[in-house]
Amino acid sequence: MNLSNFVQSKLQDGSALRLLRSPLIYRFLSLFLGKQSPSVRFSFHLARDAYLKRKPVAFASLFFPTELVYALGMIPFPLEVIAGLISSMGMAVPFLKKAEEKWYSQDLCSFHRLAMGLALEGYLPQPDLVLSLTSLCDGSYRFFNNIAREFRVPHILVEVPGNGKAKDREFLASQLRRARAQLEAHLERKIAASDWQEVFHHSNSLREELLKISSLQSQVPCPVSGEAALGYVGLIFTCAGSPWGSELFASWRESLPGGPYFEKHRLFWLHLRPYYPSPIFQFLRERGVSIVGDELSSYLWKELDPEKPEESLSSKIYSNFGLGPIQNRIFSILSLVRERKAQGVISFSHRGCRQSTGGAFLMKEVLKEEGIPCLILDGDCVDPRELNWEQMRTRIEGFLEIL
Amino acid sequence: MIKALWNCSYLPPELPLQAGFIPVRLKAKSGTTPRADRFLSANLCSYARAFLEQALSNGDDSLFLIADCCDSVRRLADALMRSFPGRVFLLFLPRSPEHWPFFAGELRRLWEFLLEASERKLKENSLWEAIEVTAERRAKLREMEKGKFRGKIQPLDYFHALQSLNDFSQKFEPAPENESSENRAFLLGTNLDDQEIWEIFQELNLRIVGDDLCYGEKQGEMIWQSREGDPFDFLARLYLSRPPCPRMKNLEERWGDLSEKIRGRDVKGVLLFPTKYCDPFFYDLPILGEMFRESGIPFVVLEQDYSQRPSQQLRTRIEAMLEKR
Repeated sequence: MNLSNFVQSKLQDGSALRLLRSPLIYRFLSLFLGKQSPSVRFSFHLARDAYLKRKPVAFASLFFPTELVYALGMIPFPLEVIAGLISSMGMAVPFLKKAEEKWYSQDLCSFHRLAMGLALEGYLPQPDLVLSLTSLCDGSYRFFNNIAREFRVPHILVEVPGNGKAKDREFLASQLRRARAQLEAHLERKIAASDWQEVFHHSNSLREELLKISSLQSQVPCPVSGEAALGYVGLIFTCAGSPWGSELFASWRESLPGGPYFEKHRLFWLHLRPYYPSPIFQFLRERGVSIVGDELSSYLWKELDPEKPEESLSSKIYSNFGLGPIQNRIFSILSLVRERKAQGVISFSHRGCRQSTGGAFLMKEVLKEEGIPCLILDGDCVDPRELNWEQMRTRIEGFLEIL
Repeated sequence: MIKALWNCSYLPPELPLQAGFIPVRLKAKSGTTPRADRFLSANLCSYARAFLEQALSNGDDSLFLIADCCDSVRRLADALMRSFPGRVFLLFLPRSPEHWPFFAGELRRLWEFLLEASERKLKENSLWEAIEVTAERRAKLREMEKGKFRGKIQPLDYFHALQSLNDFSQKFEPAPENESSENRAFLLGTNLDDQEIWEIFQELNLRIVGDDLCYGEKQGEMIWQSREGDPFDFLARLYLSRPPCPRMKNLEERWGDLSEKIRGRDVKGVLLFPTKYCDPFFYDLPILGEMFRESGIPFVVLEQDYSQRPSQQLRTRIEAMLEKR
């Protein structure tokens, strides 16, 4: 029995929830932890600490700066990442249906719908509070608000003005200062200068690792699996500020196979990937396609300065080039496509995403003007019911022919 | 004179009016969007797509003033900027009234853009003239609303009055009072620009005696006693303290005032008209449903999809709700 079948059986007989909250099971599993990869060990610690309430838990939206959460000794429990994980185990549909029964429309983002289904079924740990940003995803702010209501905890919202000019950055920094004060009051704990130093050191080390991986992705042929890189995206946003970040990515980098690699085409990936089991990446591999980078792994921030914590975090939030006018995003994607020597772009259009999918046509038009072919693949990252593989395969085949 | 077309009720028409433009809220029309389809995908807010279609069909040299309400509207602004370079302004709209100083800065930025576009040199204090004009229009709206609360205003008349309120090329014409009807309903939605929907209300002899639309009675509730000081600060505080929409505040913060309004209007039910793909409204729905059920308020969820003309099913569903009481 594989892990997915095991978890599925536990979900079906209703014992999964009991297991998640059982100290015994974590004690038992810890016996086998030593030989596991850092990502498995990280997930174990995250689940154990959150479900056993070893530390205060914050449900934080994907782009919320986790450094602030770690500096306060909290656990940032990443609902969107958990939704992707559940989908990758082939267990998304019952939770999506649960949310839909409660009037969460199928037009809404399925990451959020799935996480809401988990909440409604009681599978999430009890958070102490909910943190979200208004950057990029408007659905996210409203989703996290409904989650805070469901768990009857405070929701701290940080607004991110779109342009990232000096006054916007200062406005954002002032809100981060305010969020920090609210969190400190709620937890009755102050962040010391040494906390910022430690957390920023971890975040900067993660950044160094990501830069190394980014440099590998520019090599021809590319030694980094694009499928795996897309799988690791969520961890970048969960581990920043924790010692796990650099360990996890260094271990992945060191485990990369030495080649030789079959590489016929080099493509850059926009947005996220389908997380449920699907034939898409095997199909691409068989045709010699290397995914030499993806958009969300490329939001690399400037080194954080512990002397100016909120200003640094404000600047980090604005390193997300999806913010502001689409020219920011287009300019960055063009530069990445050239740097990685990609011949084309696949834009995965997640059905419920207004910000990324919404800009796909504009992006495609500019890429076309620059002589870079772009394929827009309509689908959904976590809802397997939206996969039309035959149609998708035909479109990919057609695209590869024109490269 | 050049028109300044705007998209959101949080964008103050006072600024383009004083800068020498004709502020007109751009209405969306239902139907296919062949021009907009080139830029915006089908899963974006149908209002944003219909707005773009209108803008691209419009051959004049209007300006476009866009409040960045949501992801869909930001992409709308991107498409407009690509099609009409130099004629588009994107205004950042904070959610919290406490952020009025930042919003005042954004309004100043808009003012500078407008002055540059109009090639005028105006003193900031001259804005008080336009503030008076809009205040008078809103005072007239408040008067008209009294007739609406009594069920004396026919739906189509109300629809046309709201359109004239937000089109500064014409005088605001309050709707006349008529016979009342027992079919009293409350309307929840964002904007409801499709005249055919209001025609269905009219045919059903419905009276909309209350609404929470962006451009409905909430506009009349923007009152400020003391008009003095910096006009940008004044406008920022006025707009951020107006009764909020689903984008600005979550439902629990709005529910107290909203439920009190609904209860006070003696309605047969509430008609909910979320715009297709409007995330803020769709996140309200599960909680709204729960709260309406708990409060014993009958309601029906309809949908405003600008990519299609309203169906006859809409009529049947409203009729069914009216027959229940």
